[in-house]
Amino acid sequence: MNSTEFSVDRRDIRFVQQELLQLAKLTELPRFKDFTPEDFDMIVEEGSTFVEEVFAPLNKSGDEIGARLDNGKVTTPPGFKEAWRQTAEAGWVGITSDPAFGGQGLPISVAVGVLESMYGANASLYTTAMLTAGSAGLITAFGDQAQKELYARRMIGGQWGGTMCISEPEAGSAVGDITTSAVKASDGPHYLIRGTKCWITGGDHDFTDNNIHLVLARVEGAPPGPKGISLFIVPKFRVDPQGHCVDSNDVTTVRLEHKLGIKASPTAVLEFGAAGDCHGYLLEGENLGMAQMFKLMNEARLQISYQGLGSASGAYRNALAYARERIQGISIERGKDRAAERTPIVRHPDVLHMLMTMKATTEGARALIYATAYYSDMARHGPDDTRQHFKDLVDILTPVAKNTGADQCHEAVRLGVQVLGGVGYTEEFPLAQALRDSKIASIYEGTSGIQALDLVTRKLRMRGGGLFQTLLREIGDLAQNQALLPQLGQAIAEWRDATDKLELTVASLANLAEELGPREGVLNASDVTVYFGDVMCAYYLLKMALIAETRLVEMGAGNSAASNAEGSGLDEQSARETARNSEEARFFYNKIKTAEHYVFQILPRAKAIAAKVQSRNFAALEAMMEEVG
Amino acid sequence: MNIIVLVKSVIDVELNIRVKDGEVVKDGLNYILSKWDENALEAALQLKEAGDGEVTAVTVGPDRAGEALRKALAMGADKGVHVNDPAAAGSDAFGIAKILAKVIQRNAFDLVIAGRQSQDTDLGATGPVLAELLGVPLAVNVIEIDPKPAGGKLNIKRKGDVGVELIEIALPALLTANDSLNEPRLASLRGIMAARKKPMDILTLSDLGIDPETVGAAGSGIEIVEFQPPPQRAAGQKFEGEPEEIARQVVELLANEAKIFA
Ligand SMILES: Cc1cc2nc3c(=O)[nH]c(=O)nc-3n(C[C@H](O)[C@H](O)[C@H](O)COP(=O)(O)OP(=O)(O)OC[C@H]3O[C@@H](n4cnc5c(N)ncnc54)[C@H](O)[C@@H]3O)c2cc1C
Repeated sequence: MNSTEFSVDRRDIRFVQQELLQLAKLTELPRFKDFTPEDFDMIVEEGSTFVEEVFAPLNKSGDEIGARLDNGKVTTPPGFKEAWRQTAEAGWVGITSDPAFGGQGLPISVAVGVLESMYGANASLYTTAMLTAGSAGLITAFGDQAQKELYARRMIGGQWGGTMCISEPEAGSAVGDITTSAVKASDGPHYLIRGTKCWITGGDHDFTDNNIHLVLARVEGAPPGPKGISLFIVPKFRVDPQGHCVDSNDVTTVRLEHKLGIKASPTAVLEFGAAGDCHGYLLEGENLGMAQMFKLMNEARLQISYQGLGSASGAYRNALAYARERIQGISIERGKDRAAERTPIVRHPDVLHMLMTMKATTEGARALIYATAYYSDMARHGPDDTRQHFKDLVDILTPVAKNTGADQCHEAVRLGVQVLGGVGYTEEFPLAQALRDSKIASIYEGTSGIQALDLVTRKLRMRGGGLFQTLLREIGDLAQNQALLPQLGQAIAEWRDATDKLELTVASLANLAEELGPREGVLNASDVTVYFGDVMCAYYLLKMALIAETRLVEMGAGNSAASNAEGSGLDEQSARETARNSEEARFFYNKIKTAEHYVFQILPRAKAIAAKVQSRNFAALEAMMEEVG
Repeated sequence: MNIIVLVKSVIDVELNIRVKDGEVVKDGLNYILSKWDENALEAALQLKEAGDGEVTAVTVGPDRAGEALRKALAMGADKGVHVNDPAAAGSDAFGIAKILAKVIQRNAFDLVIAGRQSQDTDLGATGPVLAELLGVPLAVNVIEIDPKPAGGKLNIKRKGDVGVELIEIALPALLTANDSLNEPRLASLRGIMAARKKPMDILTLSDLGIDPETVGAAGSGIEIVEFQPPPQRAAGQKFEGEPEEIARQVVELLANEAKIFA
């Protein structure tokens, strides 16, 4: 771990996967019975090494050089194509994809242990892999056998790329407004596609011979709005049944965007059917497009949360390493003693506060995101009678996890820049790029504002608030736990209080909507999503702190005051002593401190959010902002 | 070609290792495949890929040594043999070599490749002792292997004290790998998945017909009575000022204190 290179937080990932979520138990499910817990560990370990050795070294040059479009041909930065080949050959593209078509079929809660690092180490490179696997997933879920064999298998293997073509110049957040058209051909089973798609990640690149676009379009005569949208497979090159590229398919790369970050990820404007000869192959049936997208939407959105997480994790480790090395100033307790030794900045309380906030944010987000991934595995592959329960948890937590990963983690990266001071603002250290790169997570796959609306106007209202009640019951277990350390007990009580108030705040929002109207009801939707995320992150951090207490006791920590009493518990002094002597114990001790910091230094913003909602002030709605002048 | 690779699970020295009461504190330690063994394995895989044959990875150790073996399988070895017997614990190099010899002699083999030393003990004795027990020629510290054996011989280069030796070695033989021999491949996800279905033999000493008294701590000729951590490195020295001035100071110190020009 150092201040300039990306490194994976193996220890924390292991803790979340093995000790908090106990993913070993997934191997008892029929779907994962061919795996052993050791396989999971090894995959995460080896994947981490792969990321550090193959992804990370290309991140900076990728940013400097960027993807380019010259004479209609896209070139990615040097090394990217080779890295793609290695990633594909090693099987990482299809890590969670269907094994029937060449995927590795891993639980997503295991895979995320590698994927967050792929994002953190080189988001640009990973975006194309993620979209390729994601679009292949639509084909394996809804395609016919021939489509799965011809397209999905090659995409999962990384021989061909894949994209999701949803956005259009006039239809971004409002997906239902797309206008790209599809007309049934008179001379074959295909449709003729015509329209412009923009912002297409991996829309064109030099990694593969072919690129398979999954395009949302409207069949002639379809009903207006979301109900009239269909999904098509549109290859860049038409292929014969053996998969040879035989003909260009009238898909033109018009432009690549010049972006704030992920510069090596080609974001393309694509023109379909400029010459009237773009073939699209319908997936499943007409007008099913939105329903199909919805089925895979939770997973796609959760994927984006990994990006912020990976960036924050890398940034925290860089910032911590830097703070331990950088000498500046005198410790405040030495007062004005000019002769005092200069101190590493890691001793300054403000720097510690920033580092701890980064750590708590990152580790809270990691637990929330991995847990949501675990619920998702259980919703799809768990025992039949529990699936609905887990599906409810996934539905309600997905927008929360996405915004936490995107926004809170981005904030943690910002703090990382701050910890470094001047050099943090330069490209000499990776924080500046991480800050730019990670910003995108709050924009694509539904902006944070759209996630907040999804939470407040859909998920919290589903089944008369039933999903929310399920979640509250699920996290209610924490209040039953007895902490050994008094301050951890207080933290749990504080969390309990914040959770109760979340319930009230959610109810207040519903009241506002009912009494005053829908606009008032969503004014603080984003804030409440933050509140929700804070409660969830604190929940998992506290659970981890309780585990950490037990581990410390197992490692010999006890209660120095009552050393003779049987099963004497744990006190701060003894915990510290144990931690001083062992790196492992220090990990656990700091885990407890992380939970405390989150509850007492971050979670209090929930009170401010509750106050905003209670204020019933709608100045933002009342001000005449729409008027010109 | 039938190639045997010897692998060992060792403590990952990237982590801080602490010594307490004369013993390494085991909590929180991470175990990895000893790095020279990765070179040995890579060499075996390259030989196999250049011609044909089979690569068998062999380890002696407790349960966790199975991890090193599985890593070897994930990297591409075809089979694994794990001698897992508490009575083998505490073996010296001779004891380990005795066990390995029994494993290897169960079948015909063309080549045994080991790391030139293991990353934890830095002993470098197991390979040579094993060659002796197997009665095969030995080349240690190998830095290059011509992947095409000719006339039952293999052309290799090894690094000696003063230069590089070009050697023709008759098979079957035993080689130990220098870390410049190759760049070991990463275990791929596909490799890890494939490894789950590869055969792994788990053997005890009695399966191999070995008297437990002759190996392990009982049969060991040496005993580690205490473990002392390496001495702390003295603090470095920082130079400040103009580059020319710093250069002058450094040269002076190197000449007068370190006496490197003497
Ligand atoms: C780098 C990059 C890669 C991308 N990759 C892809 C891709 O691969 N495939 C693809 O199809 N698209 C992709 N997108 C598009 C992305 O999904 C859209 O940019 C995003 O959905 C927002 O749409 P928009 O840009 O049109 O913004 P708008 O929809 O115009 O939104 C502008 C602002 O208004 C807010 N807003 C809009 N509608 C509402 C509403 N109803 N209520 C409240 N607030 C609202 C938004 O939150 C946002 O703050 C990508 C975008 C970028 C920048």
